Amino acid sequence: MSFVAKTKSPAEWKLIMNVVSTIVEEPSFEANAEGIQFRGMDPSHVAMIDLNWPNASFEKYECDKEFKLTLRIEELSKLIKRAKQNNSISISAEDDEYLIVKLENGRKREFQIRLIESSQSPQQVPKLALDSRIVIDKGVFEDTLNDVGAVADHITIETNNDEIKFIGNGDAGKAEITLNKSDEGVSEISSKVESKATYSLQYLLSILKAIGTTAETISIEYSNKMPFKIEFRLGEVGGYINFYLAPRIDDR
Amino acid sequence: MTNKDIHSLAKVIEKKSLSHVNESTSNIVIDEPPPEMCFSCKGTELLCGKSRCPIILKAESMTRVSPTSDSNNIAGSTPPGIFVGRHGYPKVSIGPMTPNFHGDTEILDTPEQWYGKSIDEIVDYRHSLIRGSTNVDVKQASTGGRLVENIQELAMASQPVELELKLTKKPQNRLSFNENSQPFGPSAPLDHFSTGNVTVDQRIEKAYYDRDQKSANGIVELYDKGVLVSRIQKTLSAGNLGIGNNRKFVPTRWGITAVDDTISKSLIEKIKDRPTIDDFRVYVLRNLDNLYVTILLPTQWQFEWIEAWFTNTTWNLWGKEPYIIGDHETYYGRKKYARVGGCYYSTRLAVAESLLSENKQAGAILLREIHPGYILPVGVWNVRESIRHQLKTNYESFDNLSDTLDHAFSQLNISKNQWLNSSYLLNHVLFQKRLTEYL
Repeated sequence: MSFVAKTKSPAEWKLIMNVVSTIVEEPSFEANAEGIQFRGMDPSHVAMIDLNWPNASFEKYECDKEFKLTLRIEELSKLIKRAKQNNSISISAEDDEYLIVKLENGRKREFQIRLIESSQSPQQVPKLALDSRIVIDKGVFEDTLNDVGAVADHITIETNNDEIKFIGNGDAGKAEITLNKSDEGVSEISSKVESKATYSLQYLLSILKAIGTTAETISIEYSNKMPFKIEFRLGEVGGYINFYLAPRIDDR
Repeated sequence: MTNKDIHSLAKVIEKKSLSHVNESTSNIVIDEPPPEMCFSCKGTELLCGKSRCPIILKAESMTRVSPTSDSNNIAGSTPPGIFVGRHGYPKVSIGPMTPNFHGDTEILDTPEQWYGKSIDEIVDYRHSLIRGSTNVDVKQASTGGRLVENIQELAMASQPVELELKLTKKPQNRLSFNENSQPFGPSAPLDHFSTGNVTVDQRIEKAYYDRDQKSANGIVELYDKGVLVSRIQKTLSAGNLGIGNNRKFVPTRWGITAVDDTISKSLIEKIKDRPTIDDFRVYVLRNLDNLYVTILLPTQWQFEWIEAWFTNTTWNLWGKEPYIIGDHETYYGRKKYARVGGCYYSTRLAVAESLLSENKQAGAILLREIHPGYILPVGVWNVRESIRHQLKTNYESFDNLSDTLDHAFSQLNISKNQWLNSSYLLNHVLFQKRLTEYL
């Protein structure tokens, strides 16, 4: 009875640690024959991450039963950070007591961290049919958010078929950034209906910071007064990380 | 004090309270040239808009409690009290503080006992402590020396200590005509001081001898053992905590906030594991013409502190409308120092402490209105003790957010919309949807 997942480099693990730690401190990863999954919401139920990392992504993957691996992300993150770019990482477990982390391809380093009891119940993913879709350079999107963040805590996104506006209103003033299909870094803007919704910048900025430079383009979907979804790839063979954020609806 | 000064004072306070003040024995110095407004007003017209004249309050307190002896030698029972200044850091002035009388003086430097006292009494406590000051480099806290060790020992005392100060000159009591300054007692450069027997608090002594413990851990451990927050602050300021060679004197004002911050962080880590409260609550308290409304929500830990300085209060003398400023943190805490300053951390401590005693977590939104009767800022202890007290009183309980906010805003003078414009968390709880609504 064992679980082993080995990657050539620590890059994906680093990304996962960064992304997951923006919303939960004690995530439960599920490992089964298909691969590793994680699904979790932040304590205020505003943001969610849905992650799928299929077995084909790994240099070596074995899992002969279902494992629920719950841990303090800070502790695993510290170990992953010990790895250098060229180290391979092998994560394994034989029971629900310990997770074993081996850093190889260099000095052989082995760590154990204690698994903890899961306090979360299984999560569903929001059922959404979203009207507007944008595919954009991650850097362009992050820049735009920071522009709006210079004056506001929230961002309002307005899309019609050809252009998208990012609007911020704060105590100090206003910001409005317009992107067209022809702008550099914008690959797609499509909208079934004109869509307008408002979201917290704090959540968006922290997830984009966590993504770092690992994703070049990201796709965004949303609808009128509905949640916002960011999708980006994890590895080369069908892995993904989806981020969901509930809207802010000021109905004063 | 010159005859002219006495003459000036006689115009603004009752003559009989000046009967024992004369040119040769008084130690009151008029600090700043009195602004024209104050002198044309003389406290009778309250041109500054406050409900009482803060300068008169301080002048009366000084003539009431300040020693008028012309001696350089002061003897009394120290609460115990020490002071570490912040000007010139890392070269700062430090020294012991004592009144010029003997007895149980503990209350004079123990803000935990000040809740419910009038502003006059609090100003009296401050004015009655005479400070002898000497300049040191903060790092001398780890290198020792007789004076340093004596001050550190004094800071460990569990009860008042007999103290004799020999000062190089007569202590001066500065009556600042800057009406917004906090009251401070008289001071003079220290020649030397000697103490009677010091009974040390063994909990603090143990921390002092533990030279391998980081100061943050020392602070939390002392708190867990029941040492008063104000005593822990004194312990930190005296350089009695931390890794041996790194110990430093910490300016009193910084030490107060460092301790509030450190303790509340450790309490918050504990309450995050606890279940949330089951209801929505509104607590209301008035103290020293401050109005506090605390809203507790059945959510995960989050915290916001907003204060509204009415016109004619210390930090908003000339404005046309209340000045509102606040800060917040989500479940994950905050990294930057709060713009509102130390009171953020003092009240966060009061809230976290109350929740932990109930074994619960909650979201907390604290709204404070400062009305013109709060004529002087008396220190962050005021908000800490007020909120501690408030959270022990009865509250109104509700089962939904809307009724909760209606009740909370009905207690306040500033409108709901004005608060909403300044509050992150109010906006968040009112308008932020949850993903669970879309599953």
